[in-house]
Amino acid sequence: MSSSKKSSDGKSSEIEEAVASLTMPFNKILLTSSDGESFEIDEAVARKFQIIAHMIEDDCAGKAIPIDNVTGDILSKIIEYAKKHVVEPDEDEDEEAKKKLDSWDAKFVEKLDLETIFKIILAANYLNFEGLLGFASQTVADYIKDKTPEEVREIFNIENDFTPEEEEAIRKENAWTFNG
Amino acid sequence: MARRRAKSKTLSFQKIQRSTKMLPELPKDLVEEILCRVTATSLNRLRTTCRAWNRLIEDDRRFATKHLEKAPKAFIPLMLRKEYRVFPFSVNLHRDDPSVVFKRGVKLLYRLSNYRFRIDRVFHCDGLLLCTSDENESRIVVWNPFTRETRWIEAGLKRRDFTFLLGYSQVTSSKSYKILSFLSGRNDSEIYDLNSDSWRRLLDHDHSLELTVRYAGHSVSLKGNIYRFHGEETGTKSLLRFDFATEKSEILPLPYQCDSYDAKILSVVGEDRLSVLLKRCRKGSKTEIWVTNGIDDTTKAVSWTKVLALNLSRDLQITDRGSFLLDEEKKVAQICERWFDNGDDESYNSDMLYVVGEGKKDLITVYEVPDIRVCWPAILNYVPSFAQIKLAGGKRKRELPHNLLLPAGKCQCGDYVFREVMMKESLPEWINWQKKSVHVLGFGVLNKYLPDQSSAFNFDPVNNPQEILKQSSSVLFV
Repeated sequence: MSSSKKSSDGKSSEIEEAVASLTMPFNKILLTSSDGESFEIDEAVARKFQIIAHMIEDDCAGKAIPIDNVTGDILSKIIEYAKKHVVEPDEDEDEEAKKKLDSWDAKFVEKLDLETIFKIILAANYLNFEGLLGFASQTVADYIKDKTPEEVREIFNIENDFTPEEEEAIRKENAWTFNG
Repeated sequence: MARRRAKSKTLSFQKIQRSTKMLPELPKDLVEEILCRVTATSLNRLRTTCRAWNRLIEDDRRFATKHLEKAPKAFIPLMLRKEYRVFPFSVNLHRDDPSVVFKRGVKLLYRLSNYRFRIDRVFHCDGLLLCTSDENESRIVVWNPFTRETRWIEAGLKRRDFTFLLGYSQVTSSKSYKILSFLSGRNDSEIYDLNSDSWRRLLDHDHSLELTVRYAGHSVSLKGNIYRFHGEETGTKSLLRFDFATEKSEILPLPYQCDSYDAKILSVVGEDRLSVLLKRCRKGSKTEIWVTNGIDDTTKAVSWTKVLALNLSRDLQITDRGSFLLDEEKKVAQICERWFDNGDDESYNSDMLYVVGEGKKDLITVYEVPDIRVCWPAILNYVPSFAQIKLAGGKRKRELPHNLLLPAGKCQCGDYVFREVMMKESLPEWINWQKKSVHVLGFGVLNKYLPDQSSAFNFDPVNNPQEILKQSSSVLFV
């Protein structure tokens, strides 16, 4: 994966891109983030992003694809995940490989802060990368499951539109349900 | 969608300080993607976050189906005890002091104050319990103890002894819950569709269903399909799977062929595997527990693996009428049986929970449980869910209690004169006192010649409400 920052001179980066697209081998795709970072990836990896897979099918992929909604730092994380998950090991057939991948996933997400994960969710949704969207969503789900409603409101920036009585009533109704 | 789950490691991000603007705002559908992956018990707690979330969790069928698919499942062993309550329980295997701990139970809501529905059998699917009675009862009920929704279904007195089993057929993301009703030896099997609230005959008459083993208890639901022991003339040798999508049944093999068993019990392990407890009618035979491979739509064949083989003494009296749960990780099973002591003059019945596993002594602990076995199965692995069973339709539409149904055409002056003053606790649950809302259902036209209003009112369930109603006084609908 090669990464080249946008130079201050707009023109030269355009030329760079043009040259890159001419000289790149057939099965590599160049993605450019919204802030100008470029990433060269294998077609197989790029296909994990359904939005790009469709473009490739429809033959309008070209060699360089701009990803306008995603910044470089997030795109690089997404590509890192996609590369690891190009081939998904079958749970029944290769348990060992699956365990290793799960462990890599856990480490991958451990280092990330919640803000980054939210951005990854948004980007994975835009790129239509189901695998990562599911994984990132599950990560957040596991995080919020032990939080109080108040903490969760803060995370999702939600206003509490219940009156205290209504809130208490619902809480009582559901208090016993198979908890703990 | 990748079916893997993140290991539950806590995120190492910083504590969230107060500019909530720091976190990007997620659109509704992405928030749903997250919520549908929160376990049911935790999500239930988060209902009070805001109205939109509460509505989503409570009312949205599409979300409930998605949640059933994506959220990690919580398996809660439930025990069904007297007074028609279900109790989550857990077994504490501490060597010195093994015990069974029961948590707070929940009772099936009765719709009407004087009326009791005596549950005899319970069938579990997707967090829903289908309850049937062994009494002279024309109704069956589907109950979700987690959301406390109930759906009463008129089965008719002619189906009194029938077996009722709950499952579903699924088309993309929409599940249709259905109930199969049949009786061994008869050819009028029917299916009830919860969405359309109607019964109809099976498309093709199915001989295999007729031959299934008598006890309704020997059935389980897995991924919407029903599995039962299949009886043939030479004894039970296989399983029957009934698929609600095709409405056809299929025969599947048991681990081995045997002429007769002392005990055979079906159960479910995890989300997608069957388990069977078998004990041959041979001296010195071990009690075995076998588990299948994962079964889903793409599985070609069912294969069995033996998980436990135990020497359990005959005194334990494990029979066909028991029920069991298998803990795969710990290689331990919990078997619940009724125990008869015919030794002394007085026969003594009790209900026993055996916890068994391979070891120096195969029987780890015996726990005597008071007051169970009013209904079957005594224990099951319950998965709480938000599965919706209300009649589809407008949000405000609620199901009327059957005894108050009045066909519009029959309402004439003088015919329906009826009053009941009901205590708050006995009102059907669709009147929400906390919201203090009033639903107007209908009105009665009073006859000027009112009969004596002092006659005591007795609310018996009958198929013909007109009879009861003619005997009483004015109608009051709230």
